[in-house]
Amino acid sequence: MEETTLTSRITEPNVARTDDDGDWTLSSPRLFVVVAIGYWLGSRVAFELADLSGLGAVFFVPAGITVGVMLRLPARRWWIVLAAAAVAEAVSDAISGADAVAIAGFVAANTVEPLIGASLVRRAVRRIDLARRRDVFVFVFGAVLVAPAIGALIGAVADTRYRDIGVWNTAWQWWLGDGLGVLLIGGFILTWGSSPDRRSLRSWPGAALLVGTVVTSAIAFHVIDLPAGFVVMATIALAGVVFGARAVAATTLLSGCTVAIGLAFGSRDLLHGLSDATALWMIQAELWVFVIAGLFVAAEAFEARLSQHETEAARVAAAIMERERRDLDGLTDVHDATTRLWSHVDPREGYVEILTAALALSGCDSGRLQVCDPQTGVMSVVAERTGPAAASPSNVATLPMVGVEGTLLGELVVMNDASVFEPRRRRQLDIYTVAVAGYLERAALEAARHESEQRHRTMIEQAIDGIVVADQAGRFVEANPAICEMFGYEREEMLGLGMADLVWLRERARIPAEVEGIAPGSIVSGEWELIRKNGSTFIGEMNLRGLEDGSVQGFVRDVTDRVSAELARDKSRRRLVLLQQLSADLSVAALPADVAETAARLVVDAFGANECTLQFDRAPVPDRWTALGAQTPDVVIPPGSTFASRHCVDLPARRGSLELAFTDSRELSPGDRELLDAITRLVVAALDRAELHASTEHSRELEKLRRIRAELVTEILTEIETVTGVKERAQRLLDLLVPDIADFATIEIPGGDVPGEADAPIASAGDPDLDGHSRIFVPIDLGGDVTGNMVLGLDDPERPAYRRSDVEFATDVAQRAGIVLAGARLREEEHRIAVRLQGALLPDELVSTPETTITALYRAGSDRLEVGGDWYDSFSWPDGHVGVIVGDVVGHGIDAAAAMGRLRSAVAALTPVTGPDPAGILDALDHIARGSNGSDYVTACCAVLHVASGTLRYASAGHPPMIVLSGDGSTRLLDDAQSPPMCNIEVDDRPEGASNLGEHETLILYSDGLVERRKERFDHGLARLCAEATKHRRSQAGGDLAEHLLDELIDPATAEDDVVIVTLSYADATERLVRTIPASGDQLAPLRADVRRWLTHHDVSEPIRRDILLAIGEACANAVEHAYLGATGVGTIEICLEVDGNDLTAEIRDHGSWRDPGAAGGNRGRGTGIMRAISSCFDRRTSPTGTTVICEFSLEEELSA
Amino acid sequence: MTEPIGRLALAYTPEQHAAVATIEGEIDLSNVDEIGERLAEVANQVDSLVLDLTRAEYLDSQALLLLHRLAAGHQSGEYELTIVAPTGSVAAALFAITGMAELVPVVASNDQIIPVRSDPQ
Repeated sequence: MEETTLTSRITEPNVARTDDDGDWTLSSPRLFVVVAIGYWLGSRVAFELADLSGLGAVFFVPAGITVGVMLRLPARRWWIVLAAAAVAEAVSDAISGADAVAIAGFVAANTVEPLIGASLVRRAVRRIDLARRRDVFVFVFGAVLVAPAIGALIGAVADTRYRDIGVWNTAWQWWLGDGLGVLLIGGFILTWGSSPDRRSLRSWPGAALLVGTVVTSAIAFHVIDLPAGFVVMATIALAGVVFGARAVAATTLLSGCTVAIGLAFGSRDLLHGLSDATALWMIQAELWVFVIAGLFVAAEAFEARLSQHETEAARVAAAIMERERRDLDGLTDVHDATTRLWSHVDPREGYVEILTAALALSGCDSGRLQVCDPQTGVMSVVAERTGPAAASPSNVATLPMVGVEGTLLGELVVMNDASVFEPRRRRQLDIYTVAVAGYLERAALEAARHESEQRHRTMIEQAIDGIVVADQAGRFVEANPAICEMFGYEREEMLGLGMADLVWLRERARIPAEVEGIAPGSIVSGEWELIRKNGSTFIGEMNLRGLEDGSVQGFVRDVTDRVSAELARDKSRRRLVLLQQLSADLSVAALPADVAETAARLVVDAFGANECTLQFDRAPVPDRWTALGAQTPDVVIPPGSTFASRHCVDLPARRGSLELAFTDSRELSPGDRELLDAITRLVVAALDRAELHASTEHSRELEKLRRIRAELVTEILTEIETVTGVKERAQRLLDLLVPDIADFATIEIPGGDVPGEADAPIASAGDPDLDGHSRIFVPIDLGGDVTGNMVLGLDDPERPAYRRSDVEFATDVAQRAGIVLAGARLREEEHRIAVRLQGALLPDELVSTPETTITALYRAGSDRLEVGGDWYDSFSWPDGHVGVIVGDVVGHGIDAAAAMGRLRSAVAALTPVTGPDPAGILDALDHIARGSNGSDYVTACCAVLHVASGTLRYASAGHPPMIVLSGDGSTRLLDDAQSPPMCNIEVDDRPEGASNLGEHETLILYSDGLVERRKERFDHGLARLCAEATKHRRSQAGGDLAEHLLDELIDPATAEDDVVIVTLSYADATERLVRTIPASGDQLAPLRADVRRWLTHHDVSEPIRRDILLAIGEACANAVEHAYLGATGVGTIEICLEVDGNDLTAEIRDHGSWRDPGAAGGNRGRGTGIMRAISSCFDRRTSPTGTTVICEFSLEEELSA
Repeated sequence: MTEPIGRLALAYTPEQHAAVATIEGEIDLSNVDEIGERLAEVANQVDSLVLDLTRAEYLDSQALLLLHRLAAGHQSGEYELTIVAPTGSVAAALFAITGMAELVPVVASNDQIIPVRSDPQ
């Protein structure tokens, strides 16, 4: 049968498959042979069948074989498959008589196609699994749709040599056939390695499915009609959902084979007149749909199951977590049960409870607790519970309880019906058993005590009881000698006494109820405080029995000894409980402090002490804990009160002590001392444990600290380099150390700022006046034989004192930061020298004439770039000229400063020779500079003013232009006389410019540092300078103006270059008075006096002076009265008077809020009217930040009037 | 506080129900209330009050207000008020600006006033 041959052939590779890794371990030659034969046979079968049917191949088997096998192999072995396919194809084609070109074309088509298909699939998924949705998609897309399309095109071109049905028709058929081949055969090969199917085909439903497919296919395609083929779809869908991808592959392959064979051998009537080609592709398309749909259905089913599995896995994980949580709860139960147990004073009370707890913990319903008699070793049941399981227990656990010395204390037996104990319950039970063992040990101890007590009691009972009989009236009618002796009465005395005579006064109240009311036959027992004849009392046990005749018989026994023994026993039992309590409490104390606190508190309670102090010496400081006694309203112990008695015991094996203090005088009994000793032993053990714990923690902390500090050192070094000065760096360093490392810190160096003087701090952080409780001093080497000190201190009492690790850290920081500080210090030192040198070289005083004012301002550059070579000077000539010069020796540092000094003195010496000739002065200067070291590049500008005429001549050698500032604020540049700088090149005839300096004008000379900024055009700087000059035109010529310009234009923090500003103006161009006073009435008179003096000095005539004073007075009064109403504190008033020629301007400014005169009422409107009337110009401006009143007065007008 | 900036001197003749008040120094915000109260007190006891501002060195709108209040009594006929403000004095200048002279009788010289005996008290 063809069919069987076919199937056996394509399953062949499967035999070679060995494991799950997808790689077939078939040797290369065998692989080659197998694939080649498979390919050849597949090819033959396909074409034989096609020939028989005359329709063309339904599906091309080799296409599926190659790509299927390749995807089961690693890529490095693909070439074998491809070679085998090529050979088989070539041979097959040669046999069918193709020529060489066609053979090459077919070989190419049949090798390129699987190569592309396999590559696409492998690129997307490493190992294909057709049970997964994504893999199916990749397979269909890459190996079924794309690759066969390409192969089909190549093949169709080659095929044109034989057939003439058109390239596209051939390609179409080829594509359908190859694609179907890949789907059926390739899919079959691949599913054999994919996830196993949900249900195996090797079962009777599987067999039924396969047979059913064949039958359905045969009937649908060959007996009924083509569309009926979709009935098969149902079978395949069933295969996908119920079985899986593998079954889909098998059923579709079977279906495909059935169709192909049927077409070859069977009737073709069903095609109903369709053309061959159409019939074929319709069949192929149907089969395509089957396979693809089947595979997706199977994948969907599989993925759905997978997510179901995931949900299941999550559920299981949750269950496990729940179990663990229950375990934890179980341990809490054990703990609770144990804690409850210890609350029993008599251990025997706990037996039932132990059993109950054990049963609850183990989940059993039956069990018993047996306790072993320490003397006899006999086990006796002390608690038992019988539940349903006791009758036929299927699981019995016997848990022995063993004491510390290995003695068997008892056994716990639990039983249940279940097959085994849950491990969790078993574990809980084990833990609980250990706890119970401790408890039973105490019980044994108690039992021993109890026995001795019993013996004591028996001994006492051996003594003869006193017997007395009282009649109905309560009188004694009988008394035995024992009772007479007991009470110290003679028998005769005794008879006639009553019960009331024998009992102590306060017990008499009991008599009516307990003695007189006693019924015949009943017995009443009780302890009484009885009184002897001599008045002493004792405790007696009295058993009273009512007799038939109404009389009462009493047996009296002196139980003083027994009672005191009982009291003692109670006491020792209390101590035992106390020790147990302490032991339990201490076991949870993790820190030494907890231990001490726990112990101190317990001891206070136990001894009724008022204070307990526990102290132990532990490096570096002794720790000390104090617990105060309980304070009741009756007993309030004020803190610090004196105690009447103190008792101190040493802690064994360590330096330390435990001290008890009482407000009353109290002695400790030997028993108390014993108890204290026992307590101290427990405390020491707990302390050892806590310290061990703490030291482990401590070393871990230390390691952490060390790491943090290493990071901190790095951070510090990075951080302090961001500033330049030694002080700033030191400050930054300390700011980083406080408060993390220290509460306060200081760095001091010898001389502080001034070398050669005493140590002084250059930086400090925190409160420098603190002494602190712990300090570190470390030296800082600042280079050049200068060693400073860094002091770190702690003041906060909460912070632990410095340790060795802190000192190491501080030393490390000091050493490493010292290098950085030293660099800064040396640079500063050099800078300081250069600044001083420069200062020394600049002129001490400027030319001063009555008519002109010359001011100069020099500011050194920042520390970073040392000093520059800026200089200036002024001259005067006898012919009424004054001159100013500003120069800049380019360069920095001491050399530049020295060169500058030389040039300046040279100019000073030259000016008398050159005369008032600015260009000549620059020429001479150039000449000197050429022969001078350190002055290779010098710029300078010079201006000479003829004072009487105002003629200004000027020249500039590479220097920025001078500026003239007019009184109205306009500026002009003197830039008509620019010549090259002095740089060793001879310049002939430097040009000279001419201008005029008006009375209210100011000539400004400056060095480039004033206008130059990095990354900015020079003219921008110049424009800024002009703008600032305009703004400050009202500044008094000279000093004020220069200061303003410097402040506005230079940021001291970033200025790098040094700056010179020189101004030249006519004297007294403007004059001003500026005052700021508190806004208070009593300040007005002094202000007026001040202003009056100033006006007098400026020769202002009396009437005008009076007006000005009145205007200022009114404006100020307004400010005082109104501007600051409602404001807190006292505001200020600023007064500014300016005389400019014959004009005087008064400006009064406050910072309060102006209020409308009408609204304010009062007198203000009149004041304003006055001001308006007396001034030549009045203006008031109000803004939210204050009010400014400006009054102008003409001085001249008044004079002429 | 140091020296008071303004001073009020009184010459008083009870039998004639007349007083001469002389202001020396300055009147401003700080002392106007105090001086004003004392003047009002005097004005209430006399039929005739002469206020001599010849030696006043500084007077501002506060002082004007004070004078205004005094003038109210003059207008209602309670007493007769005469203010002495010689030409060129501070007061005269102020009156010139404010038109105060129209409200109260201002005279340029003390001579026009009935002399009163100086009262040692």
